[in-house]
Amino acid sequence: MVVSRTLGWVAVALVASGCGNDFIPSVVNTGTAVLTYQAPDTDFGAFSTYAIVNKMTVVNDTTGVPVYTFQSAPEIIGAVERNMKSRGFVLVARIDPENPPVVPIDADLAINVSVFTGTDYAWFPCDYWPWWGIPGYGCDQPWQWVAYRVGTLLVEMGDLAHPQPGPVIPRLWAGAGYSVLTPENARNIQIAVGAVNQAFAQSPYLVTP
Amino acid sequence: MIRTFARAATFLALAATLLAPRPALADAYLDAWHPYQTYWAVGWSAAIPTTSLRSNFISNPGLLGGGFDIRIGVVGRLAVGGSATWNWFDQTISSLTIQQGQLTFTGPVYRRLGAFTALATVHYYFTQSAVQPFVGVGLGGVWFSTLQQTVNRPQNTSTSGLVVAPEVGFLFNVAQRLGLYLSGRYQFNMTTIPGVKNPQWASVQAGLAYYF
Repeated sequence: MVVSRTLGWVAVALVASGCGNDFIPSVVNTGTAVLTYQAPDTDFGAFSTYAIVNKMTVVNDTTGVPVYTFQSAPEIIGAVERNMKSRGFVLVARIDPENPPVVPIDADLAINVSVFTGTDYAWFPCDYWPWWGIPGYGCDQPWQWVAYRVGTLLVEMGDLAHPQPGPVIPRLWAGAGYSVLTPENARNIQIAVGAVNQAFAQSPYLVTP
Repeated sequence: MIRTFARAATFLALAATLLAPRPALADAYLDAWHPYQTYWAVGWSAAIPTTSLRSNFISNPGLLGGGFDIRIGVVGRLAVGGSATWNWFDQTISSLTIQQGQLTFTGPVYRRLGAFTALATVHYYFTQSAVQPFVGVGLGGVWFSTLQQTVNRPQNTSTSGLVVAPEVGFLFNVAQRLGLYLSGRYQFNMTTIPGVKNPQWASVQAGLAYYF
């Protein structure tokens, strides 16, 4: 009797101990985070000038069919420019994505800024910078983020100084800010600018003399 | 007369029952009467990470855990047996920078560590009193599973290794064949989990023991 009662307690304890907390706090899934990527063996000191798209590309994928629009985002693009200037890079051109240049721009680096909203994945890029105002579709490893309602900001940097055969521009650096959209829209810009600043802060190698 | 004899017999029987030598109500484990007694215990285990486990992976104490022990007296107040323990740690770090190859991440991170430990144990009880201090050591194996989640990206690992776990504690004999135990154990795990070589923790065990 006592033995069976003891075994009963053992069983209860084992069941209780097996009930682990499988809960991932929402701050992890939806909190703001910043990820940066650096292409291997890149010496940013070898680059000095850059051109940047003067509007932010908004990719809305809430319906399953991505819709691309361009939106003026002076605070966010201004934050990119400020950080680039503080690292020694010289801005030589601002590109209108609705009228992209047909001839190559005389700059070492090219920068796009995009924001993704929707229910699809925002693939973190690691392959090629695409083209002015067109967000990149990179590889799906080793990182992928769900954009959905919280939004993902993407700053991509391509190498214009070393043209490759074919229509490919190597992607040298990218910074992604996850969860840049909030229900309080007034805070979105502040969060996005903070994400841009953090992306540069955690990329100390992104500097030129 | 018959009634008188009957009364006397009843009295004698009662006296014999009351005065006959027998074990005390709350006998010690492995007392002189039961040198080969078995011991069955179940209880709660709470652990505090130490060394590099604390600094590199999780610093929160793991309050969720439990286990059971089985022992048998072999000689004197020495018992051998087995122990199975499960410990659980988790922590959310509001902002952490992680470098992985070409990628650098800064943001909230959730980390989890589950450990299942199976030990062969040796324990020595210093007394046969109502409160029995004891020391012991366990040798065995541990199986780890870890999770590190950044945004929606989980990274799971699992590994196993050898364990050494010295222990000190007290057994409080509270009723016939029944005791409550409280012990401290230091668990040294000879394996590696992400960022941590030889994870270690100190733990407290408390629970109920039954011996027969």
